[in-house]
Amino acid sequence: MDGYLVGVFSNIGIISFLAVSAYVLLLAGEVSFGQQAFFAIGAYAAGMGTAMMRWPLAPALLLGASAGALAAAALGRATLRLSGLHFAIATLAFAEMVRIVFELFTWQIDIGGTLVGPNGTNGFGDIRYLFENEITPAEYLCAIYLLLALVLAVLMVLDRSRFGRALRQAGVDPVLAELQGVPVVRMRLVAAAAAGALAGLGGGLYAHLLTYVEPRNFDVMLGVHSLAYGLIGGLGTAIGPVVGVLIDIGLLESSRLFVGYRMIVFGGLVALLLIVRPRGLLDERTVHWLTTRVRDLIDAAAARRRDHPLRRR
Amino acid sequence: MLLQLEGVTIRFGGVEALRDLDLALEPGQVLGLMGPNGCGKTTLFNVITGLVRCDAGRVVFRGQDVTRLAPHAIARAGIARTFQTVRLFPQMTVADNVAPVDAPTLPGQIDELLAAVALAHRREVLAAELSLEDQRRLEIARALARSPSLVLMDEPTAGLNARETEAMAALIRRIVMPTRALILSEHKGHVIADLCPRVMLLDQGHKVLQGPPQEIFASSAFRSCHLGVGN
Repeated sequence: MDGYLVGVFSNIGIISFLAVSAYVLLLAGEVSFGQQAFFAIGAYAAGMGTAMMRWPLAPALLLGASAGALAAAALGRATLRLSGLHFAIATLAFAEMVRIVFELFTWQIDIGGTLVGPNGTNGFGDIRYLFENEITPAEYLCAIYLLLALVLAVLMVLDRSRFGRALRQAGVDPVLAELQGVPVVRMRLVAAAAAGALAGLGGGLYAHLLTYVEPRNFDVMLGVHSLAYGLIGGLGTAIGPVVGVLIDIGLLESSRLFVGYRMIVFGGLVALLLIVRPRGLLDERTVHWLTTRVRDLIDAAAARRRDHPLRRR
Repeated sequence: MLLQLEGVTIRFGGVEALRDLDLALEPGQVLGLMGPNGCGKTTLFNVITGLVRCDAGRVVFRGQDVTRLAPHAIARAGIARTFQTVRLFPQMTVADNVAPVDAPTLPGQIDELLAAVALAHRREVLAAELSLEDQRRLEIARALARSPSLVLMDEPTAGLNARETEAMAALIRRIVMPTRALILSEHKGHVIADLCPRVMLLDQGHKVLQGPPQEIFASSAFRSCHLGVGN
């Protein structure tokens, strides 16, 4: 795979974490325009872990995910009584606040004669863990997709669990969910923290891929995109938001087919899907249809094997 | 005593939706609730289930004051309800609508419940794809899934034709009533007469009368407030 494709797929993989983060909140019935805040917090925390504290990559990524989860839980706690538009605006305001805090945040230390660390609007450079440890872009790409596959597998298993059903119920009809014994507020808080952890993990991966991050990387448009990925790809399965990222970054941005028109096509696609498929391409109905068909095929194949003349004999 | 309401009052702005209401229900008892639209029947259900907090009075369930409990805690304490307009999780399967999410179910428990409401063969179908009658039956199965000791049913026959109404009344008698207390809000007098040995008549948030259905139907208060006919 050439360097360009490795870069594109790395980007798709990393942004998928952010998209899945927004998806988890959408499942809980919350529309967040602020997941980029936790992505930024994760990027800075993980970057500080390897570049300043000289930690290995894994604990640094864990630090990024934990920082994202903590910040998201704090925001979730503060916005417990908000929903709908008010919650969306609160998350947007929080994300802008975080971005501005990083513009003001300076903390650099001398490492081998070079000042390393966040430096306000000049950003945070020298996150050189991959180069220093001779990790190739292809190896990093594999690590990103292994982590993404793990996250998606966990989410898909959770989706079939009692917790997953409770989360979806809380998202679809919080009143009915409460009357079914679901503690909706607690579910939303857990979802917010989990979403913050996913965004923080993605942010950590992002900082190490780019080696340099600055507050401008984490603007409102990143949050809008992360939300739109779930709405395009669908809310029926955790793969939905990844499909949304593939369509946007893989098709619209990287294929060069829509140079200069990408945002027009992207915006139009979101608007169109919100009208014709409000819960995205892979919505619950489609996922249910697909799983039923697959189950029928498996059952039919099993029946054929069972009734095979040689086996009967 | 299973359920006790003492002096419950609810105000929405200047309107008193419920006024100093007392109610007592023993385990296994069935109470019919009648009254014109806006008389406070659904508000009463909302108070009991914790969706609306009362301005005065208290709700005691199995000896525990549940007035300030969250709805999910009241549901876990053993109160379930259905809605006048069917309320389900439309993009979930029939089985997923019924299976409780706060406690593990015994093997076969869901199938048994679905069989009781004649929906076992549709367990993997999305709730949105069911007919209104099937949705009503699914709503009952959902309400019973957590083995509540009190069920509140808000006009379970609304939108059903005569045959479906009869079948619904039979279903309620067969699977809801034998083991649980029931408060049934209903406009159809024959359903109330069929199922409820005791009826409470509400008007403008106030308890007007309480007694056997035939006595209530024969009263001038019933004709006046429920049918809009003068004395």
